[in-house]
Amino acid sequence: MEEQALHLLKKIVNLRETSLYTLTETLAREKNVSYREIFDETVHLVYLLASNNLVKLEAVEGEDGSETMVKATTLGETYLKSKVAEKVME
Amino acid sequence: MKKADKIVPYIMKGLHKEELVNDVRFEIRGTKQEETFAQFSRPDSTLYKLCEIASEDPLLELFFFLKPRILYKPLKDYPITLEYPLIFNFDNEFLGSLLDEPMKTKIEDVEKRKEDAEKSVKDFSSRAMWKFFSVAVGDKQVTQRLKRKKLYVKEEEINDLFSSLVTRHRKQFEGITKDLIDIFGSLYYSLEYYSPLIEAFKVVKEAKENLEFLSFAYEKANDLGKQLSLSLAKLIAQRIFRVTTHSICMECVLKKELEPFSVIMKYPMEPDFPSRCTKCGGKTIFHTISIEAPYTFGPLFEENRLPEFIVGFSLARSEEIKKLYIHKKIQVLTKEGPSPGQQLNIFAISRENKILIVEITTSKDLNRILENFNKKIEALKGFPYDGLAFITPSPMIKEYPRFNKARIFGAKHLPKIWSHVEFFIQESSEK
Repeated sequence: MEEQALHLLKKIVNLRETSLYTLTETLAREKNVSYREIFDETVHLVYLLASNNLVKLEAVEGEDGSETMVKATTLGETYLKSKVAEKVME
Repeated sequence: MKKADKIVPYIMKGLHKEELVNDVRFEIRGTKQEETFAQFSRPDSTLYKLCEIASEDPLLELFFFLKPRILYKPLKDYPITLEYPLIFNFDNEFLGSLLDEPMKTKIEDVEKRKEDAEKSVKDFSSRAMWKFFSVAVGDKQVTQRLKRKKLYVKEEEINDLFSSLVTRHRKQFEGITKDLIDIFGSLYYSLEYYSPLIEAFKVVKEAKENLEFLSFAYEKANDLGKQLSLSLAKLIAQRIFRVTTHSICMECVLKKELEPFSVIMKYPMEPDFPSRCTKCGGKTIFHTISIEAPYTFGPLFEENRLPEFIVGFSLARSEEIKKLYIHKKIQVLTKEGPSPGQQLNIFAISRENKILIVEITTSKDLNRILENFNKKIEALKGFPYDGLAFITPSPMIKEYPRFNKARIFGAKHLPKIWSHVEFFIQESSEK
């Protein structure tokens, strides 16, 4: 679970700011699975990251109604850097 | 016809539905947000149950129009917390006096007490940290480890190193723990009393507006607090949410200079909102309702989409409506091909084959409502429909004004929205 959350955080940091739906689409394409298959898991992990203050969520009005935007917090970026450094040191 | 057969809240990605109404063919597809609604495909899901219960309870129907503060907590099953400020009874004179100079000074005094309590906790932390490191630096095993060439230390190694450090210098560390006991008092007052009280001063206006809005649920609102307890209990009984309430008297400190009366109820089966303070006898008690929800509800709350579904479920009660699609993209299929898609909150077909569009806004601001209304009318130009019901939580809209094929509804109509819209459909059919 932690590994998956970390992978997702990395993705969010790389994308800078993305909608929850675009994020799921990107992951589905990368993993070659259906959108539906991973939507629930993505939402679960996003809320896990949000509850640890590693990402920030905000609803933004888009062309297709309001969408949940996901953005890494400063803490999230620092945490990711420290985890990457930890792996390099190991 | 059963309610569940009328409502289409979810269409799987890649699929679509078609409706033929008076020779016009409509193609209905899911939206970008569709997967959030997947739980609606099971009538036994918590989300389905929530909408069913809320659409038949006038108070809950209004309650989910309130704008909560959304918090995220590291709780496995319920990571989302929605906080609603509320006040059921109040001393009008006391609330009015909160902006007066003498009262402002008293509030500032409470803020200072909170800051002092926080400062003493911070001072303790830095003192404890300093003590801890001075002991660690003087410890041979720790210094030897730090002298090693490999600087990177694994988390488990740090844990072992420091737990053995604590065992070796037990007496010194017991001194730090003793100081910690003294600090507990300040910490307790800051968390238990001052912080919630200061928060209450900040949002008391919003809490009062929430009360005024919820009062539309009943023509004669007797003890709205008790009514809300009973309504929330229905959701708790179905294990849809976990609820915590915090009630704090605003008069204790400001009127009688007492430590405030404060009650926290964690996960009750039926919440209770005390109507009088047992300490000072005052009646201005501020309540914070915290609703803990599973992550599957997250995007729905984030995007404020729950009112659309609750209104949709409520409208399905009407005999006049035979089919109802919630939050979908609709295209008209013509010989020349499909028309550009319209994203609609509710697309309903009446028994008499009339097309009813229902749009829901959660803004209470009249200017914003009218702006959104005009935008919708403009966007619907060329789209075949017989009536547009524009549903708002505005307390200002008493009678529903009519603009050609459209009517605007307000907070007053929300508790029985299905019967008001039913009347609107009948009225449109007669024309």
